[in-house]
Amino acid sequence: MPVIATKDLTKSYGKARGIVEVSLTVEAGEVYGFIGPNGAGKSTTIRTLLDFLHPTSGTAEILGMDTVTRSADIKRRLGYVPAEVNYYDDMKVGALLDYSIRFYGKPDKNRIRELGEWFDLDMSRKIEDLSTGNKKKVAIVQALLHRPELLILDEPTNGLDPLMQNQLFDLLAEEKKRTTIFFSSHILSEVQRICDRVAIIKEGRILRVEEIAHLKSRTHKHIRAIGPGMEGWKGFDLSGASEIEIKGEHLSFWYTGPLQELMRKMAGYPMENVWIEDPSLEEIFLHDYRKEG
Amino acid sequence: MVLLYWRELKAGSRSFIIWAVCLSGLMFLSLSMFPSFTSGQIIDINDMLKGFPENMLKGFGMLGLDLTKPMDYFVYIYPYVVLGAAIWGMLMGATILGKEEGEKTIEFLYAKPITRNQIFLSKLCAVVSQILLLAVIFYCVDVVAFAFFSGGAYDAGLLMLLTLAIVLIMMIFVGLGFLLSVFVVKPRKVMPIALGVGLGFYMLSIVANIKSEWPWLKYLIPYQYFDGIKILRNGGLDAGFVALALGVSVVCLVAAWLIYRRKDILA
Repeated sequence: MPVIATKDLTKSYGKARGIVEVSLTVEAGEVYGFIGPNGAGKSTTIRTLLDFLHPTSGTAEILGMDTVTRSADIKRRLGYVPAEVNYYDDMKVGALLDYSIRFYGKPDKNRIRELGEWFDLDMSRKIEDLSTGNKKKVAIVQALLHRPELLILDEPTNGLDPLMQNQLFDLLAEEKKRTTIFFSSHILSEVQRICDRVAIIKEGRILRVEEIAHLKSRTHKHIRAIGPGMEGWKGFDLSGASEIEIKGEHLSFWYTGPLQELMRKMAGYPMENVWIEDPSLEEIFLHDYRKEG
Repeated sequence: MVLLYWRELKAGSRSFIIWAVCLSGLMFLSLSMFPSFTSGQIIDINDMLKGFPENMLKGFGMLGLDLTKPMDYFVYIYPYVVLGAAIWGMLMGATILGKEEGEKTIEFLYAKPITRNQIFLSKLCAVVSQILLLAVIFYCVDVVAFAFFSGGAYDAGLLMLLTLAIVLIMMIFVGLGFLLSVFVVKPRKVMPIALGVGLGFYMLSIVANIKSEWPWLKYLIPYQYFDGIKILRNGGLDAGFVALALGVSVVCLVAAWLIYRRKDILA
């Protein structure tokens, strides 16, 4: 049974784009990345899954339960870290965590202490005095207190310094042994670092879902070359090449196809230098994004 | 649910103390002036009032009152306490539900294993508890004030009915507040509306007092449901208006609940 399963999930509200026919399946034990630029529909998808928003059409199930009719039962078994953290200003960190864990039954003080220490939280500080990064840490801790089966993270590294980001990833690496993680981000290197699969969302629609390993091993190569004093790049063309850009002596393009063909073609040009690079996930994404756009 | 209920009581305690102290203080201070109305004035206060235009006396609910009698005097200050209590009721109703969305703390709360019905009910119970507690405080403060300033001369039954009327009027405004809060969630936008509604009805109430030829008007104005002078003279609350008050309150709350359980929460 998948942990998250949506079928043609659509949410339109007002003039906002919302999401259109989003179909996803997240399997147990997976770390599932959800990637897209700001405004693509990541948070809308998550908020629809959490019943903050009612679907316009389509269905969604979490842990085999309908997200609208069984929302409270689902939430007993999931943890959520919102993109923007807002808590009750009058509360202290310790009180908030205690309040949070009581929703799930008897408070486990050891768990609060253990996670608090991991993130070096000062339990006696008032929420209103915390920086954005510290509020985010509290959000992550409160989401993990009850040992959820599913953890939904919406842009969890926003506001965390690099050191804390590393600590978060270490913690998630530990948690993934027993928790399914749904990780939304617009930073692909984060997803690359931790996720098994990734869904790319654009303008409310899922563009594709790929294994991270497959995504990284895609045959798209980024080719750059310099040919000093050359006008010869003009009219450069090659089967499998796309987005060819010629700026004076500089040539750059994306290539998919046999490397021998590429080498044969390039050998015909006097070059000062040539770079054949595996693209970063960001570049793959931007490349796909432009292509699909 | 109990967890959220206690949290709301705790979160609202500061506001409760401020309003309870201010409104009880207003009542106590006003009653403390009662002896000066009875102690051999150069001008008798009732004679003085006779010199006022009748419409003014009607408008402010003073027509026919004998201010040298403790319960009449109490009824004279009563509308101002009702006004304050109604505004507070509306503010409580309008902010307790909506502020979670307005301040975006709903992303914490509604990610917990709790249904929207439970959120609604817990918050409503917290509001009703505070109103009942306020009523008890009012009654106690009045009893003490009467003991001090009128030598204990008061009608306990009437005092209880007048206090009950405050509870009923507050419940109407709580209902209106809850209904408002499913549409307007930002506390800074809600506050002026709540104040405007509370004061607006008060102004209409003055008009309704004067315009006795418009009897329908009193059905539209919650303050008119339980007029202090009528309670004093009749010795009871009008059952029709009790039903109307409860009806308006329940209709507003049910409407707010139906909308809340289906609405998109845009944190």
